[in-house]
Amino acid sequence: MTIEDIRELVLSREQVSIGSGADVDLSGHAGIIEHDIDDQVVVVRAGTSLVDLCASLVSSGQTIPYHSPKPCSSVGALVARNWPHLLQEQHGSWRDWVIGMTIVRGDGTVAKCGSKAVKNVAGYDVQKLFIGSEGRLGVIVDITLRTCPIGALMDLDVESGQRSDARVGGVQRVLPSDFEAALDANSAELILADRAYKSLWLHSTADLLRFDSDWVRSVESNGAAPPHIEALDRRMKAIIDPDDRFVGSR
Amino acid sequence: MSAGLAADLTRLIGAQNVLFGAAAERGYDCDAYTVDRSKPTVVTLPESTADVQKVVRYCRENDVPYTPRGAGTGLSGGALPALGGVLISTKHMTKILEVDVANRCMLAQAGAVNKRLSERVASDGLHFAPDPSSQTVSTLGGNIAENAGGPHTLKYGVTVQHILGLTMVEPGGEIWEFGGKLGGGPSADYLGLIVGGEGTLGVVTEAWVKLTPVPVHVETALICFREIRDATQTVADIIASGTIPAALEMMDIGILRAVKAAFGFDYPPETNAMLLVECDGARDRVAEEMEVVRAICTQNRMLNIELAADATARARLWMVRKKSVGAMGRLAPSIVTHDGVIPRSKLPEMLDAVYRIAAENRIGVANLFHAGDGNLHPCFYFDDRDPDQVRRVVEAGEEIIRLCISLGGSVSGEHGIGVEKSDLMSLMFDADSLRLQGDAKRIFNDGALCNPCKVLPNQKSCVEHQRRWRGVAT
Repeated sequence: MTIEDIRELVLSREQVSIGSGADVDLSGHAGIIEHDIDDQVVVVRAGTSLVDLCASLVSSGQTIPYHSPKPCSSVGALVARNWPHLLQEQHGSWRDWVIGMTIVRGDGTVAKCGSKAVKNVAGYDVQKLFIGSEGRLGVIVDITLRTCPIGALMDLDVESGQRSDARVGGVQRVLPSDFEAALDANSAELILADRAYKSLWLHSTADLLRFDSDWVRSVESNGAAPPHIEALDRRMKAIIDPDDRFVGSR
Repeated sequence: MSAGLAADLTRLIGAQNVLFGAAAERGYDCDAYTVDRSKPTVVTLPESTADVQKVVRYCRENDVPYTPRGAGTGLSGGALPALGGVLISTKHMTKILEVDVANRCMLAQAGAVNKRLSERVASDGLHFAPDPSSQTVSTLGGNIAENAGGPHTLKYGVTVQHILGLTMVEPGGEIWEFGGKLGGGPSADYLGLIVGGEGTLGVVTEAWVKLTPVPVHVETALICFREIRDATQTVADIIASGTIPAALEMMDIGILRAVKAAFGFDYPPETNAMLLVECDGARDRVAEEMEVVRAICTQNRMLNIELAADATARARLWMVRKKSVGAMGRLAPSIVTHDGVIPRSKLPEMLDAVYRIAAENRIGVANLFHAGDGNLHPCFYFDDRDPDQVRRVVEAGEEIIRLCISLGGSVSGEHGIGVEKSDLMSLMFDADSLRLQGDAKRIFNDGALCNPCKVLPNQKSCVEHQRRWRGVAT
């Protein structure tokens, strides 16, 4: 599946969903395009599964330091979802690793952002808007990532909770000064606790005790954002996807 | 015009916070990128977010362009008041508003000087990690606008990785907050776009910064090489080994001569390049990393290695790097520092090309690099009173940038696009890619008033001005 095929798919529909079995299914757009071992940079098609990518990198002593209790999926889906993970405090996350992207927009144009240089301030960091965009702004087709030397990998700092076998419903992150109190208060729903990132992985986020400055990311809904953020979300959608083609990831 | 504008703004934020007249025009007509100049009509020095809001609303209601400015140390003209109008300086906004040591964060006004943030929490064993060489004067707001880097960003990341939240007066005149003490969160990463937005998406007035523990153990080494290629190969080998030093800096003989002349810093006479390598962290890990570094240096025929025995010695070694651009003032009346980036493994061939391009254009060049990031700073020294030299400097700079792009790099690693490189953006991005960037800007700034003529090429009403600054308009 080429970028041209993806363009045609997008242009052939008024409404476009992205994901496995959706209008645009990128599982046929997989594989490493380029891995510069010395530079520790890899360019990958978005449909590549993270497991496959890491397996390919291992012979060069490199990896992507993403660690999640949720089932693995494609790199594109993970970037579009931008969920917290369990090495986030130690190694950062997609906003730190994604240094370039190729996007197919609703009008069929192909736009590139970033570069293959690990440090770059040329222009607006548009890829940051696509990380976590849940497929509502355009199709992320190719992604340029920094890799991490396996020798530099740090340890997890997690412990299991009372609901360790349950399905993840959300993540709560609190200030370090509130972490122990949050563990006490929300232990009934706790799947695991990430001591490094001060976050609680929970089965349900419905009746959580909330703390100052905390945030909760939920599988169902993230709840109401402040009015200016909601206004910006609407403005972003209207400007980046003016024909309102992209209905989201599946 | 300036008297009426100044009177209006004085009524809004007080006479002590408004400057105008010849001295203000001259003092604020450029930042540290001095090739282009444009006078502000009035300079404002607001004391608070509320003051900034008053100024922005006034400008919006009266159709006056405005440009935010920190310490004016920017190297791409980001604080140049391109279309005149109101300059919004943050020099009266220097307060540290809250320090939360337990949660390792701090709230400061945009005009607070970078170094002061670290000094404030030094006794708690913490610091603000981004360390641009300008850090003794450059401001938090300026660092945010440019997504500033510095020698230690190799290990600790650039400014965006240390900004947890910010307050901004957006071009519509509203006060908006993004993030907070915890950063991140479920909403879109608007903060990640604003940091590095070069002050074109609104005026950032306050920010929550992340405080990072000061490393328990640090080792610093200066390593001399006879052959430049051996030094660049050492950099490539260190990165390829998987070792991530806290800093990995390179200086060539041009820099070393200037530093020797200015500070008497000596080195073996046959030296042509020097690396500064710093490793930090747990003591045993640092020792292991330094062993790897030393072995690679030996393999690449180093002349000698000098290790800092204590903090004073370390400061002396760092002086070679941090004061080097200042020391270059001895070489010529003007310096232009370039800021290209290349994939790190391309360093050896890139440096060869820089010397060739400088020689072909008959310009003096000295090179310093954030080598570990592939971020090069060729410094051309010349006399800006000679238009022909200026032309050659601009042409040589563009040739270097074109080469960076063709090697898979970028037109800027940490200095930004500003007015200096807006024309070069189209070398790196095609029309559809630039349109996406323009769209991202429009989410925040859909007008022509907030810091006009920056970042994106060919903006309405800017092209003629640029030609005039550069002396090519008839």
